[in-house]
Amino acid sequence: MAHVELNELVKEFDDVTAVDGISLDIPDESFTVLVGPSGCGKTTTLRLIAGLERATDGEIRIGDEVVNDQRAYERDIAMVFQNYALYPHKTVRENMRFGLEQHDTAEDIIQDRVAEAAELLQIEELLERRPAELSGGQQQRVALGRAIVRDPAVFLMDEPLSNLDAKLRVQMRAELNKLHDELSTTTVYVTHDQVEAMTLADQIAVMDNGQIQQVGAPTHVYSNPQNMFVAGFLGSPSMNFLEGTLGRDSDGKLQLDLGTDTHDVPAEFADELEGYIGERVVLGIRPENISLNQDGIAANVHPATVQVVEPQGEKTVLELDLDTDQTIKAAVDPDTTVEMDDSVNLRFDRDSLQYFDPQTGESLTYETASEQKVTA
Amino acid sequence: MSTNQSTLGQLIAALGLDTDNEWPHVVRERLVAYGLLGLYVFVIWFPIYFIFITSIKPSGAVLDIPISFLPTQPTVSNYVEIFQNRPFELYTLNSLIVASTTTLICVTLGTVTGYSFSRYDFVGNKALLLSIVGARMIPPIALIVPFFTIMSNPPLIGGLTGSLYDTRIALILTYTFFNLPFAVWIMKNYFDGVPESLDEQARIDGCSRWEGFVKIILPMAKPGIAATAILAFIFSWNEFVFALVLTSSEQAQTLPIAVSLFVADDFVDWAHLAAGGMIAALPGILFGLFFQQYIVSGLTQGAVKE
Amino acid sequence: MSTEKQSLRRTLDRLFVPLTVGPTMLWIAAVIVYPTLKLFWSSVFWTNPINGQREFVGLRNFQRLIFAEEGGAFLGLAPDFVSITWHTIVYVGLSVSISFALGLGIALLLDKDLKGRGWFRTAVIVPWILPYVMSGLMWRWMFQSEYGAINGLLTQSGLLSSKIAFFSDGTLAMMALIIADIWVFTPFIIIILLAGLQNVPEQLYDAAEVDGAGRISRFVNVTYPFLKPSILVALTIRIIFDIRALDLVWVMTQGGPGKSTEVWASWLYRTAQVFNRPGEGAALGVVLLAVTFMIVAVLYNVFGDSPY
Repeated sequence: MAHVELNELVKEFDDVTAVDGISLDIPDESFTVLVGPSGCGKTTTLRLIAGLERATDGEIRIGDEVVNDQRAYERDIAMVFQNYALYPHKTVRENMRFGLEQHDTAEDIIQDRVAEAAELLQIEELLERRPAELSGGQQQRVALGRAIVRDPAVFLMDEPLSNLDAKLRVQMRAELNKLHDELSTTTVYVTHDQVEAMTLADQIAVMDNGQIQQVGAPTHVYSNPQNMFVAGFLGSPSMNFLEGTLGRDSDGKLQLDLGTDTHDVPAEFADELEGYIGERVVLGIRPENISLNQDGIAANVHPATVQVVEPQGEKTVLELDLDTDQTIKAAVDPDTTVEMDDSVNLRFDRDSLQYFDPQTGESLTYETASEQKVTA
Repeated sequence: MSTNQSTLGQLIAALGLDTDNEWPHVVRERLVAYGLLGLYVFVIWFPIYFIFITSIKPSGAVLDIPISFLPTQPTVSNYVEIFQNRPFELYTLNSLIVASTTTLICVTLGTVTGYSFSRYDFVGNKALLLSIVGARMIPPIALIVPFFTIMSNPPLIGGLTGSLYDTRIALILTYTFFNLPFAVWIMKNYFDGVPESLDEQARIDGCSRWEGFVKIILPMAKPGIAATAILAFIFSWNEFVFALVLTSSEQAQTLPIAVSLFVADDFVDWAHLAAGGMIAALPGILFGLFFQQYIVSGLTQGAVKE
Repeated sequence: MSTEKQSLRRTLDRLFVPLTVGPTMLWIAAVIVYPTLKLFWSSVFWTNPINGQREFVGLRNFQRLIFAEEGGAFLGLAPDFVSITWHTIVYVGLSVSISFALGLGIALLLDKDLKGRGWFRTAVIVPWILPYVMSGLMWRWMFQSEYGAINGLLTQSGLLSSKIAFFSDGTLAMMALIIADIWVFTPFIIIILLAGLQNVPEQLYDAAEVDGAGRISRFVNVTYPFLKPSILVALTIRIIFDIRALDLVWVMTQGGPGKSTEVWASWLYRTAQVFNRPGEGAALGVVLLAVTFMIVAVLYNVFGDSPY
């Protein structure tokens, strides 16, 4: 087992820069998820670690060894592909044995490892079958089994659950979690599904445009996005952004002018936002941090009209028009009884506000917000 | 009687002609389809049947009037006689050697090259592939003059071998000219259908390119190789024009030539010709009956796919 | 793993493409490129049939084949060239169009959900797999004037009172050739079109039926658009293979009676091999090559994009 380190990693294809100077530390025994929209460079990064692509520039370390010049077949890694890539002409057992045989492993060790992995994954009764005779979920297990028997320094997984149906995906997610607890092998996992990323990872790296936007523990990144991309990418429905001009109210407190409505900035952000008075600033608020004001307190509420009511079972998502003509989404209690065209007052949870620079997209309040969360 | 009715009923149901279970217009269409297909099959198989019964008639009975369409006195004498009176065992041997050697060369080169064309984006990949496609369009008959000249006096190796005219080697070399581009093309298209992640998995499992190709990809390519091999074999076995131009004796002449030799200027020995023709047609008929799916897949891989 | 073994593996891997593509390219250069260049080279020489001496004649070979002239006076196109070209057009045109229509019909029937489809498919493919020589001679036997099956059937059933000498009449001989050609090559059309029909999504047929589209409307609006690429391939290959095909003509009629079934392929063979005029044979080969590429270019410009 080993840690993996990427330093200023670059990969160029003809005229496209797929990976643009990534540095990432993947600690030993961690489950690190690279997440981002398609084309963000996450799969290329994984393939660079695997040795399936050659790095244009930068450094890849597995353990303490720089592996840039090693071929995939020389690196101590195992990979699970999106389409499983099981050899169709080999049985499950042969599929699992093949990698070990290629590495000149002794026969008794091969047999032990295959037996162990098969037991762990509950695929013992499938060992003599061929991939075509297996269901998608079973193929997925075999692909995992093939990686496990290698006992590699690093597992690499490229969207391994995306070909499964929704129910099976949730189930396999839980199993992957359990498996990692048991084996503790360093794992790098690529997905575009943020729910998968949040539930599996103990470290998450959000990528966009070939660059890492933010790295950290999933809950930390979720609550404290460093920029608007990360803020918008994680969470469903995604974070609302309201743009306005920062100014002062009659008492001299910071206030965001949203047009026909205003928003009072909590006092703790005063220091960080002081310098932006007179500039455009974006307020970020997650739908689940918006509630309907029902107890009649007038301060800090925003009048809005309900446009769409979308009950989702465990919550109800409302699409609303603010008086300022901005559209906003709120996730509210399923018992809430509102209808289309109702006029409501929205209250923003004042502990969950974020402020961004609309030009750069960077968070203006990251420092204060994350400190606050830690002390809270 | 009732059992008869129920078997008839089962047959009708099995053919999808049961009006209780299918729309009447569907049943009507199916009936017409069966009828037309049956008629077509009868018409195209009739000549094969006729040449077959000609081959088992006593050679004198072939010229009987009225013509008999049934094998009244079946005999294998025509088959025996062509091996006795003509060197048919040599013709057959020549055909076998030429067709199988050509097939071996084309399948071997076509497989490895088709794989590289499918997987690697090397310099000139597109241009070379295009030249292979273009090569398939060259009409072989256009090249009978240069091939005759080249084989009569081969460059580079001419000093070692002398003339290659009337040798099996000349035919093998010539037949690769139209089979090799085809083989590369079919195999490239076949490998295009094999997911690249299998190559990558092999690499992850510790295989070099060669090991991955030999241990993983090649075993999976068996159906494609079979299709290529069967087609290359049939094309070479059936070839006539170059055999006519490049050979003149039984040391290299193949079965198609042997069959055509039954035609003399003013007389055709139909009974023996029919027997020889059946022998020449045998591999084709067998391949067609037993390996039809390979022929179909090879042709469609080779033709329809880009 | 030892470093030598590792470096050997890497070196072999680096050489993978050159080692897998190189031999084939050399082979192709030897058996395709070289003979093709030699064809162009041969087409501008004249070989003295008596002493075998070669003489550079420029484009005289082409000129002699295509144009009629006497004493340097230009008299228009050569009659042989005109008539042989016409025979080729008739032969190829009728064979291809009839076998295409027939093949399309059979393919549509075979695409239906019928029991025994596999059996039918096997049965219709066989003619294409037989040696063309054998098929040609078989049809020559079928059409034979005294003992052939066709005359036998027609007279013994009382449809005809006297037998027909098919190969003594230019038009009938051409008809016999065309029938044999259709018999041999229709399976190819069927195979290609059947594969194309597999690309039509089943749901579109269902949708068309729900929309109330009739059989013809279904073919035009659903089948044809998906079948178009296959039609193009089938027609292209069929045409260029028919132009080059010597086997059937040579064993059935040898271009006769007279020159009434002489086509380009047989003309080329006769010129080069029978009359031993390699320069003119090569010139005809060049023309055939050019015509083939022109036909492909035209078909793809008329029908659209997908390359052969």
